[in-house]
Amino acid sequence: MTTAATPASKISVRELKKSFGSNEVLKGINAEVAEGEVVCVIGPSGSGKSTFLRCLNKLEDITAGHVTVDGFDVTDPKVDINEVRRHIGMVFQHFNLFPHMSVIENIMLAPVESKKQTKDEARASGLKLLERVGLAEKADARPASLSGGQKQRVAIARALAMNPDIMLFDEATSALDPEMVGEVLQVIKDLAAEGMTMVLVTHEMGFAREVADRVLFMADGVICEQGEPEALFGSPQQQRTRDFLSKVL
Amino acid sequence: MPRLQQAGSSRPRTATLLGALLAFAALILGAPGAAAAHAQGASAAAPAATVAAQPGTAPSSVAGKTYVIGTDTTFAPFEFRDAGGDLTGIDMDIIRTIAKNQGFSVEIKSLGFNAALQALSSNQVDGVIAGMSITEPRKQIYDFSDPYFESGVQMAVVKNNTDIKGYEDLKGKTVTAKTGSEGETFAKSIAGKYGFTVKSLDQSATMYELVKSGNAVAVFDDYPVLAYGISQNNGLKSVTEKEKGGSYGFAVNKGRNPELLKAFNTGLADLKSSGEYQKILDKYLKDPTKATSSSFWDLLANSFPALMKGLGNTVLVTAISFVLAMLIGLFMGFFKISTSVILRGIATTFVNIFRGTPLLVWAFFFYFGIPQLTGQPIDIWVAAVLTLSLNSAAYITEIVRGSIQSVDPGQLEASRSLGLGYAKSMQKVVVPQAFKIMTPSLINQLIIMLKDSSLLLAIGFAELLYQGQQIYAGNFRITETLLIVAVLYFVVIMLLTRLANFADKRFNK
Repeated sequence: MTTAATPASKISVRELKKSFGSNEVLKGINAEVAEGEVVCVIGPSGSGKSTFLRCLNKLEDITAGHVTVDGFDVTDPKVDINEVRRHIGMVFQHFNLFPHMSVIENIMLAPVESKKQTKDEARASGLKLLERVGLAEKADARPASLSGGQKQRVAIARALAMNPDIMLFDEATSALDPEMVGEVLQVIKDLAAEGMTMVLVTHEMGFAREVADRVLFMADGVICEQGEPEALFGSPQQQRTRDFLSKVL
Repeated sequence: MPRLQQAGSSRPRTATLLGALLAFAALILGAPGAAAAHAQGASAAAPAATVAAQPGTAPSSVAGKTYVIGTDTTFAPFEFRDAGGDLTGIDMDIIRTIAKNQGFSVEIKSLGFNAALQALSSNQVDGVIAGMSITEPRKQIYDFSDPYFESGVQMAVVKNNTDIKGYEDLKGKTVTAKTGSEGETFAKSIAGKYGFTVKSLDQSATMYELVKSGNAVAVFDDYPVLAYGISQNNGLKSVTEKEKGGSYGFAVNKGRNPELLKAFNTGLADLKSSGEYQKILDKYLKDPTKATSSSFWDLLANSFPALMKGLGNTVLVTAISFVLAMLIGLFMGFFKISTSVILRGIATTFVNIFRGTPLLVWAFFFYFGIPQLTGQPIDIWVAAVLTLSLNSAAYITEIVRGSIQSVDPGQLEASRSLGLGYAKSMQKVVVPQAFKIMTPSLINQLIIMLKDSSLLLAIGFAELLYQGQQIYAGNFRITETLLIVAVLYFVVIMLLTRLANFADKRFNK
């Protein structure tokens, strides 16, 4: 479960480059994520962490290189990107719940619209998901009435509703009040324990150390260093990694 | 314009098309009434051609046919609305009596003087009777009947004005006259000599108001019109003898409806010999019903049916136009945010054209311009709805675009990341939120639209303000009538705002 490509590789990224206009944000990323692996991406802001994550489900157009996710070549224009995305759940920093729908409607939307489930089925499995994140009693509430931590747990339940093989978390706890961070991290830990393949962009170093199978340190659009958490946090090899860790730890 | 002249003499169709294009260009350039100017320009170059019966029209019989007759809105005692809101007056009695005498029917369209002439040029009406003087320039473009009334210009001032007794007292002052009338021509012809300026207006009633308000010291108008107004307590008195003036005639478009012209002349001769003609004149000139000074409440009660009819038309034309404008605006709004350069170009062009040009220009273009281009008359409702809806659609396009773009982009990303397509994501996630954002702007647009519909009076669309004008043209009680009209607009807009806010709360919780 290290950097080598294996047949069980869920995500494979080769020479990924991404530019916004003349500004090159990703300068050639190579990475593999194995099935069931939990990978945390850390690094200073502006290093391209979020852009990297958003390239995995093509929320950003890919400038060059190849990204293969769950057997689909994301960079192939012939591949139905909507189909690919149904296998990848994504959780955002600012939750992005749909404010005009109730909590359960947020969760039911994708299964019903993709014709995966009937409304009744979607509601039943949606309620189970809410139970799993501890919010069964909020099914008919509006997102606006929830706390930040509750919102993010609903967003996770919404992403899980399509039964994804992979979950992406884009700074899922950065917008939360400190006392709410724990409840969200607990849900993510539970998912990890169930064997979900996950890529998390995070600022929670303690959490990364605890949950990650592997940590990627990004700086200036490249993966500067990677390794198992104990190794990377304990004895970083690169000066840049040491500088960064000395500031955040 | 030698080309016009040549074309006019040999190929009438080309001339019509050229004229139409000129009119179109003039309308696009944004000059209301430009078509009339064009008509004069064209007539100056056109030869005094003899009337040639057009192929396909039978000159023999008018019996059983219905002719559309255009007239002025406000030229009492020739045409005005009685207390019940029906058109009456010398012109109306004459054309209706002649129609009965000759066995044809008339449908009267009260358009306003300039609009009636434009409608005649564009064949929207078959004939015009509007207290119109027979003049050389007009004879170049219309065919006139025998004169049916000998008129003359007179000058009037405010009743208590003792300073102005004749033209020589006008030095340095401003007078008013009606656009395109004999009064205007006469006033302008002596303006240099006596040193006054002429400010032209469109309606008799507003000219009298201008004099009463002191913004002009005197009015030049046809004597029967002045005499009638004075008899209705319009607050003026005439101070000069009538100038020997022109004669009024009934007009058809050059070379068209010769049978109608012939029937008019025959009927007029009959009326004159039977004494009926004199009776009609006496009814309005010798012994007009003196206006009894009625109270504001009488005015309200009398004018209410006509105003309600106008209000109904205002609301209906606004409602139809709003639905259409919403449809166009939604499509164009989506075009504007589309990734296709072509669709974006279409939407941007649409918005630029209709937001960048006055509403009135389009009203004139749709009602007078299109018929000249196509040769097909256009229903006034179609012209009115096109004008209002396309103008509003341009604004709604921008409202839709702005609202969609102001929905947090994270919403679309979240929906797309769940595997929903672009169209589905827009439909289920973005547009419902955009609607909530755009509702207040749409309510605003609806209210603007309802008020803008009053501009349609310029093409003779019988909406609320038009009905108000019709009423004060007959009774000269401008301020009170406008007050009633304003209150009606206010009440309807208040109700509409309440309703819209209620719907907003109900559907956009």
